[in-house]
Amino acid sequence: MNGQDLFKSMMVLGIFDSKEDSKTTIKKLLEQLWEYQEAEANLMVEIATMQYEDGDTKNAIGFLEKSVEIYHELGFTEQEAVILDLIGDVYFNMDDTQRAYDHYQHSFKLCSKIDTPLKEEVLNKIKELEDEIEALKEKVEEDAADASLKTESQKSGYPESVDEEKIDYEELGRRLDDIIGFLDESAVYGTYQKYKNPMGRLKEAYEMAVNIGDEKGEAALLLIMGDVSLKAEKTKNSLELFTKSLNLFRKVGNEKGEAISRLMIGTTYFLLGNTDEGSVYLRHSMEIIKSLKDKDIEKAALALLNSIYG
Amino acid sequence: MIVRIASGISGFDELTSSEDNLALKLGGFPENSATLIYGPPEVGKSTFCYQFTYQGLTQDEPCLYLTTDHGIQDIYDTMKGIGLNLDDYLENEMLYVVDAVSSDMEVEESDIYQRSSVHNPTDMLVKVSRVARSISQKSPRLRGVVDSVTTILESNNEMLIVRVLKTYILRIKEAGGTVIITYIEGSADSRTETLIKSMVDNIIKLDGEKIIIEAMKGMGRKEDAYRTTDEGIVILHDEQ
Amino acid sequence: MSTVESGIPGLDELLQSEAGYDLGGIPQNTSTLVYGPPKVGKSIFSYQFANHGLNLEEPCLYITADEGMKQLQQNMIDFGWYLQNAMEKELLYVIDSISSLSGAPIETTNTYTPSKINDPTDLMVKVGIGTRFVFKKSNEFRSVFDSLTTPFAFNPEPMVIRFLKTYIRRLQEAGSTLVITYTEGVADENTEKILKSVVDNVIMLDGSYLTFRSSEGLMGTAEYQITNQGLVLGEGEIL
Repeated sequence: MNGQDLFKSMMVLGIFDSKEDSKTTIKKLLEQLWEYQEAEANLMVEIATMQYEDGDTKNAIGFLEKSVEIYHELGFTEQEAVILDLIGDVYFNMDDTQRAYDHYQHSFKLCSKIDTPLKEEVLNKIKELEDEIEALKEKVEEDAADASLKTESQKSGYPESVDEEKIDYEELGRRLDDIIGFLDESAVYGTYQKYKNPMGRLKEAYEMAVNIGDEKGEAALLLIMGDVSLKAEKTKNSLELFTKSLNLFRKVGNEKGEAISRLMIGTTYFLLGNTDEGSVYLRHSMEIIKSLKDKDIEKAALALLNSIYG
Repeated sequence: MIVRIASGISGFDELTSSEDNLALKLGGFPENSATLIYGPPEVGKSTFCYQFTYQGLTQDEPCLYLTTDHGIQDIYDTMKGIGLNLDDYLENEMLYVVDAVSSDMEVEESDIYQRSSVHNPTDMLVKVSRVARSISQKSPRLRGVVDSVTTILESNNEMLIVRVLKTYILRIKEAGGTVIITYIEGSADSRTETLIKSMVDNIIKLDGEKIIIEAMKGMGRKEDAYRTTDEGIVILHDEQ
Repeated sequence: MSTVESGIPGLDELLQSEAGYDLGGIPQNTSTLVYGPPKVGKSIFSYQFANHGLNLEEPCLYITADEGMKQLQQNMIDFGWYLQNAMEKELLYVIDSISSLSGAPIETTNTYTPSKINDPTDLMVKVGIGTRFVFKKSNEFRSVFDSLTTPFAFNPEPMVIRFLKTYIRRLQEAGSTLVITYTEGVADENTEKILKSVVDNVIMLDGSYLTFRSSEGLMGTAEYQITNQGLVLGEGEIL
């Protein structure tokens, strides 16, 4: 609506009858608009808080980021800085040091423009992280050196293998299928793999599970999608899917699912050449499996470990 | 004016037509609506579904049947027993079944017969949605049956199944469907029951002796006596 | 106190009492919760309320959470209420938070926007946009939320309450008269108490009687029926 139309409709509404001029009225409307926007941002923060308490970190961060955008638009620098610091805390608790650092930095820049006690707090957090990041950088360089050594001994066409001995991928694939078979839902979702476009069907079911809030189904589907990805050698993608699955199984307290997804993650790390990380997951998984006191799963898990370690 | 479709249950269309259009025989289920058929166990709810399905098939309306208690073989046999022969309709692919019961591998899966499990609500919903979508591309009308939602509620978090049912009803209606859903009274928490009743358009109770139409579009409350015979359910509607 | 014509025959007359109140309809700029068991006519109430306002050229912000837009239009047509005219004049703004679940393709227009039933934040944003649009047409407009039932199935109860509080506050600030429907028994007792306390007026439908209770303490009750022209009240009394 352009200025003229707005003016006309305001005349019709009798706004001018009170002898105020159009500038004042537009100002009032704008103020109302900004109030609504501020309330929106506040609501987002509230919702994010609840989601974080529920363990839904991803969405919590999403809403916090959205609220930062709104505060930025409104020019509420202090609020913006507060929420950026909050996001930094969330990432810090997730052990995502880099992202935590970036958000603290951003918050600090804003704090420097205004006079707030938050400035010192954020500065301290940044200093702590800087030490950690230095240490991380060194480790990354070490790992890279290790990996390049390993690539030299690797045969072409396959994802990097761990040992000098070749892993039997067919055997490994069968062991993985056995393990996934222990998941209650896999019987049904596993049959999707016989269709022409299994990933398409799995994604369709996954979206449905998300829409109706079927977390058990969601977790199982993520696991199976991860397995399909792994077989298609999309190793990094499968890692993401397995990790999402693990988080969901943990959220709903499904120990069997947790153990199975840890096995999958561990196996994938091995295939990526990261033995240390892989071992951690495999070990943790075996601990859970032992506590489940299920002989069949234990047997299958050991068979899987055998085909990895040789 | 509310468009209605023939129910297939003797006496039902008469019961649900208003006095002025009795002669025009315009009773039946409101088209594109969802109806809850509830009551104690063994009062004829499944029989109601069989007759409803068969009526549609004879009118060239495909039917999507989600079954959770009786496998396809059972349904086929029972329907034959009351004179409803499915042979032709299975052959010309008008009846689509999602069987959440049978685990035996005797019947092969195909476009018209798929297996699922009541423990996998997402899978049931996905399969049913796909079928509904593909039917709607070929036919303007379809009938849907969920027999029964009680069994699905028993195996899952109730609120999840409420959401599943809501999604199912939305999707079937989107495909032009008219659907009936059976439920055993008292089999779920009262909140769940209230939610289910609020999500359907019509509510019918069968208590073994009387059929009570508690809510139906365009109609007030009505009731009548009924009997289960060897030709299915017969409503003893006396003309006034 | 100024009022808004409800559009329910008999209701406005019922609310015109001799006790010094002069409610010839629903008090303007208030929020009213219409609640009761399933299938008693709550949605019909909200269709009737919206439709009547549109006939009087009063714009309406309509949030539908139980049925999609197509179904809403069909339901209203069953009573002989057609929305075409109002939509052409852009008097009706619809936020459809349920159709995305039906798999139907959704086209956003100037006055029709989808949202997601399990995303109150997105819904709130759409409410903000819709409110600004309708407010430009008139600072005395109607708003309907039909109903809270499905949101309670898809979201934790506290989240629905938070949403509702903000929704009511915003719309009242913008000058709207609100009607919100809810199926009794869907949320827990405590939540229901909060629901009733967060609105100004409550209207209870139980299948036979309509009972109105305002925040000022005015109470009236009357028999009602669902006819093929919507809800109609019979004789009633102020209590």
